[in-house]
Amino acid sequence: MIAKPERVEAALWRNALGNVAAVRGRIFSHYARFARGIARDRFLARRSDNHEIGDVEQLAYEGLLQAIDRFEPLRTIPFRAFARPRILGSISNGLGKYSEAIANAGYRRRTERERLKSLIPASSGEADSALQQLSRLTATLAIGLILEEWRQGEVEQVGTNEPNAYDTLAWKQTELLLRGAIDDLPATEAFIVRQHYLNGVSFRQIAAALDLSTGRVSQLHGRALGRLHGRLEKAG
Amino acid sequence: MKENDMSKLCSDQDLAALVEDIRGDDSGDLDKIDRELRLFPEDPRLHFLRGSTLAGKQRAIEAHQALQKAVELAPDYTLARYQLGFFELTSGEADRALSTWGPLLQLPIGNYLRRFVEGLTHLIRDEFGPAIEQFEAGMALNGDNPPMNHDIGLLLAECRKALGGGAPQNGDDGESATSFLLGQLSPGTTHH
Repeated sequence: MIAKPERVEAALWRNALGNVAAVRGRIFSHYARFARGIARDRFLARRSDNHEIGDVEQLAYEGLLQAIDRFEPLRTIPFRAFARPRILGSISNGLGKYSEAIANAGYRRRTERERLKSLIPASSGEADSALQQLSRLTATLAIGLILEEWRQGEVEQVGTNEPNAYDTLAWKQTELLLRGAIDDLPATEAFIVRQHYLNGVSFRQIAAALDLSTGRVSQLHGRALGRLHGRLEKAG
Repeated sequence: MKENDMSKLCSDQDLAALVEDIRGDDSGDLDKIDRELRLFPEDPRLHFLRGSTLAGKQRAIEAHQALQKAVELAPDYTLARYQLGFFELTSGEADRALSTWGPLLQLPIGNYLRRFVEGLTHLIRDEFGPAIEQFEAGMALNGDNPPMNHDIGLLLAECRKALGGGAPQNGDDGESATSFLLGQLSPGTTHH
């Protein structure tokens, strides 16, 4: 009722004055949707180039991170106006550099590899049998798929009245439970889950936003999914 | 303000003249305020005036800094403290606003600023009924700042709407309190 978007945005930058690293993650979250919108426009405009949307989004996020670090809040230019050409530039330069080989190992494949790597240590309980470990790993990967589905739903927005598997009561309850469980995660883990699955941000870029190593982000991701799995298990 | 601090303050007449000057012609308003601030860098009223002027120009980061400076210089400057908290609230910083307003809750119950703060505190928690009560009481008590009543009136209308109690009054736009700061600033308002 009271908050004014332009002031909320200004407050974000006010808190960044002198120490952008401390609030880079929050700022990144605030503008991730904006960067993704630019990526989608570019993707649609260059569809014939055979790139993956995920790759274009990663380049947009890279441009966003650069813009966050270079922006001078006290200059009167709005951040979006400042960032847009940088994001577009990052996309154009990045796509221009992609070789066929890199395109073949596109965002999706890299992401899946990263996730798996991050989950394996988290899933290896000491007393578990190999089968139990595999079962837990599968369940944890499935949580990732559910989370990713929310994002896909946002991307596609296909208008069909036909009920599907995702409309079942059980599925909706799982979703609800997961959303609540994410809210209860420690702040950094919740940030990683939201950015990675809901915004499609790679571990490397999340690491840059949070000033952490990629390995640490991978570790926290594994821990977060382990916690989510635990919550779902408890809920039965 | 203590007696020995008086030399650090712009005179009431000069401040009144500056406010009038800015009100009549806002070109170069910040330059005019900054000129006075170079002479009286510790006058909280000048920082408050600067903050409200910057807020009107949508320079929110600097506006907050100036309002904060006014409160740092004069912690008992209740109007500045109220407006700083309101600015923070409109910036999505409810916790910070509550902390800024804290001392205003020590004011007598008959003080309209206290009532407004209590109303806003209820509003933050979506407690519309008690918010309405406090706003109404504050407006009845406020004889000093009619523009502030206008602002609170807008919030009151929103609260009533939220409670399903009818259309907002006046069909006004949601102009913020800070846009009226100039109108509220009068010499000697630091309430020391």
